[in-house]
Amino acid sequence: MHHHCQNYARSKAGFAMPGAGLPVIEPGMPTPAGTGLTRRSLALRSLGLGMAVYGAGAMTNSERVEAAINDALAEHKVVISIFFDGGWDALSVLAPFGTDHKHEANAAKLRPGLSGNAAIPRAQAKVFKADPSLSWHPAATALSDLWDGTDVGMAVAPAVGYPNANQSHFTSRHFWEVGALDVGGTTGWMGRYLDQVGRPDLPIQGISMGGNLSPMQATANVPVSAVYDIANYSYDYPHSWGDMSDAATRALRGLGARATADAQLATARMVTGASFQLVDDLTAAQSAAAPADGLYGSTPTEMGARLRDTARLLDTRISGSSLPIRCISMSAQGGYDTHSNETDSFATDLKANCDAIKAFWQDLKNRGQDDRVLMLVWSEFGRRPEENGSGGCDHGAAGTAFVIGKNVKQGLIGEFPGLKAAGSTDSGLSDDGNLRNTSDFRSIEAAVLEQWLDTDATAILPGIAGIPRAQLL
Amino acid sequence: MATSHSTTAAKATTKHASAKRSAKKHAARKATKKNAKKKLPVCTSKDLKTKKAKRRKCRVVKAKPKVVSPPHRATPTGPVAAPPATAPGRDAFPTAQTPAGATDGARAYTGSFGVAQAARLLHRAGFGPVPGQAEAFAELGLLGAVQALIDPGPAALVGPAPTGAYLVGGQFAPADKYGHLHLAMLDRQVRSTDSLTERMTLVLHDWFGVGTDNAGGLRLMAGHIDLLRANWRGSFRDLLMKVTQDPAMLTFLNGTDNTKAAPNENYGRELMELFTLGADRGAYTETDVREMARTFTGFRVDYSASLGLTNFRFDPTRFDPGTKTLFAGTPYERSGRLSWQDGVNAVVDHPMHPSFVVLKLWSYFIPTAPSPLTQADLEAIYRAHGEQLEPLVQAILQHPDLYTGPEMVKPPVVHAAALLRARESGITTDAWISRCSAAGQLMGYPPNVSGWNDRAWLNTSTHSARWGFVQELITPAVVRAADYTGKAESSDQALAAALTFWGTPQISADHRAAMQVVAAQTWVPKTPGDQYGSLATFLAHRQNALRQLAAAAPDFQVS
Repeated sequence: MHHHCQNYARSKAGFAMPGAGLPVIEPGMPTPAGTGLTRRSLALRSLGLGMAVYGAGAMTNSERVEAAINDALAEHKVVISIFFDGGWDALSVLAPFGTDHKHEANAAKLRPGLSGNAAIPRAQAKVFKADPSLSWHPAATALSDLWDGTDVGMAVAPAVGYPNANQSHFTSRHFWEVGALDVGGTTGWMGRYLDQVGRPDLPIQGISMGGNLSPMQATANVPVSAVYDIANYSYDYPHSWGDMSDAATRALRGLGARATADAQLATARMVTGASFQLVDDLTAAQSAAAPADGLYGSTPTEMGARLRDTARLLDTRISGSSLPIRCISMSAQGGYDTHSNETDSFATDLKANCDAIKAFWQDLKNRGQDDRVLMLVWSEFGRRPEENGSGGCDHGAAGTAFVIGKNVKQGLIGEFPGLKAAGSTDSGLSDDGNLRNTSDFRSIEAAVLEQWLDTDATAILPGIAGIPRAQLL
Repeated sequence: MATSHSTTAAKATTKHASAKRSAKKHAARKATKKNAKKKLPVCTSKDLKTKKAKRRKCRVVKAKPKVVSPPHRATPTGPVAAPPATAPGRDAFPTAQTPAGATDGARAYTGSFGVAQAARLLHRAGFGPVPGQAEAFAELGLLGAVQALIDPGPAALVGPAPTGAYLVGGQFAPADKYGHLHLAMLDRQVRSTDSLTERMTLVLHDWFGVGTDNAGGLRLMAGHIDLLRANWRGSFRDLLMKVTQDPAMLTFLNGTDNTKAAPNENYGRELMELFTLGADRGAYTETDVREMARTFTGFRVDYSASLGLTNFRFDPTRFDPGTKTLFAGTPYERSGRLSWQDGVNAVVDHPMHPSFVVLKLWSYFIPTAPSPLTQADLEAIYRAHGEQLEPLVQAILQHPDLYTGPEMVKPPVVHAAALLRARESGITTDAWISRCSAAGQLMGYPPNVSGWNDRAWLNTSTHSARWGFVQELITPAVVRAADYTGKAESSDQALAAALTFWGTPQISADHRAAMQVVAAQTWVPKTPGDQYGSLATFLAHRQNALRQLAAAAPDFQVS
């Protein structure tokens, strides 16, 4: 068990450090119901909680109050992380064949099944224009379409990793999530960004789509949120409403803001406060327009529904202001730990995700939200080039990642190193038969922070100083 | 000072000693030895330079064998070394004495053991108290209460049997219907007189992380849970032997895909990383992962349209009989024509195994790390008792840190079962499938092989699902205006009634204060803003709100 990955219990204690005995959340505020609630009043509500959390003394200056409101009203640049859980077979996403045949003899030796025509029908596989020795899996044609189109740019890292690749799912994933080769890290790189720029009273600033908080967003001080279904997030009382249930909710929010030195009780209280806070924002999201008919297919896939909801959140307006979202995380649909029978599920899941990603960018464009979003698509490692005889392959090293966005500079981040065995000068494989990395995930995370979020990466990613940055924008 | 493991542990050890099991183990060792004796040509230096997979059949002869001690003699790491085993059989190891070199690091709690401490124990080691149980446990005192959990007598199911249209012939159908394994486990958690066995079944379900979708389906998954429940009180070594051959595990981590011709690393890796040794502590290398995979080759299974996966077995023709070297270059290196049993023994005998088990097991019961002394003592207890979990659990449940340390979030199903127990309710709906799933813990479906993330149960999404647990139990029993017609209820009475609804649990002072504010609400008749119209309606709304507040408050999510 890798408790160090997701230690929210400790990391969130900071949010629940209220001065005990301060007034509960303004009893006089109207109940938000999606209509009649201005973003400004929501911000004021939040500030009320903030005062309860940090002590009234911190917020008495009216200029500071005004600045804080404006901060809560600002439309932020957003970074979205999509994680392919299990270590995807990168060599089946961008397959080692094309109009340039240089990898094919090695691929035929290493993975006759997984690179064979039965697994990846070559006739339907589009050649990758930035490196014609590679082709898109037909299930990833939607990504090829995004590459070809003019709406977004895409930076492709065909062999991303880090030195001395760790072949544990959980350790490797943890490195990506904390933004460092640090097994002991307790906060995520997005979490540290949110700690720097976020607020103590806006849980929606970091949101995990799905029932679990993303460890990438583990913060030390500010709250973040998780939601499974934005349309069904409510707190109703069985046969109790009006003043009585309002009084109970006020009591719960007050309890949620009370200080305690007990770490897990602090988490429980913080989450309680954040949950009621989130109801307000998600109620407002109900009023955002539905996407165009059929954009995500007649019956959206799991991923389609997740990204559809994400677009809706990004397009939510309260009195003309966006929700103060900064970071969004989600897992892609399906599992990618394909030790056996990879073809059973891989193409179906990959297609569902790639199609949903393409539809999402169209949705964002339709909504006029595409210029403030950057998407990082990644997996904890790539699988071993040599297949294992079970119709799958074992854990490997370098994998593939994508950065997608309207302003992203299209191109490669590092080259594909080829499949020549260790020993030759131009070998693409290491001694243990894994793909060598030609780019470092930390260089991408640093570039996202610096080039997209205008934030000093050295303050967020320990040890980043000596690592060259990817050129994303 | 209490002895680091009381004589009750000794009794338990004897009770669970099984002559049959020892004989079987003995036979297995003998078979392994026999295999090892089969003569193969000695590897030449040329052979040794050839990649192992391509090497001709030969045996590697080391100048000096590095491992001489029998399995039970491995020495744990840590500041205090384990005592050498002095008895021939691990199961028969005498335990009444304090192991040589042990300290009071694993001593028992000696502070006041009242209802609050008893309630915490029942939440950590079981599924919370039924009404009156915490008071009864407090009467037993700490050692008596822990003993009652460790040795509850023959397990029985007490309380209301499950009801509802989702049942099949009045029963759960865990092998056939989605979610019924979850319901059947929840039912036992609510009703079994052996709470600790149900809790340890849940712990081990998390430990091994087997999930239905990749474990061959509902039937094999149900078998896996039965295996864990039936074997947790034996030695962890034996449990691992059984889990290794368990059809669900063989399917889940590709054991039946792992052949001499095509080794599959999945089980070998996770066995070391997640089940026995731990990642990132230098316990093994990537070479060990590959060598371990070879030792586990040979299991196979047939598939038939009518039976599904069937006839799981070990097929020697698929086994890699060549020489494997585990933990090369260490004092605990194992080399030879290792069998899969040798593979299991090698990880259990590894000097970093006890510290892994102790820390992992401890983390299920106590949220803060054990002191180095406690850690060392628990490791010694583990080795001294032939790698049994039960004496370790007993020592942990008696430990002062459990009673004096911080709160712990109740895992979702523990919370659900505890609410049902508090209400003395049985399972009456299959809504517990979707509700527990939304709260982050559907049994039979851990998120991956590392199990659930036991330190991140609470977020805004799972919080709303926990709210739903409480709604589920209040809704069928809501009070209405008719229940209050012609009656009065003071604030204090309203508060007491709401707590009585939940079996009069222990609640924090802050929680009580918050409830008092709500209970103090009064009805002002016939004012323009009146929403209720009658005192009876108001009182009903107040009572229902208080019941929700009692069990949905943040302070009630921890124990």
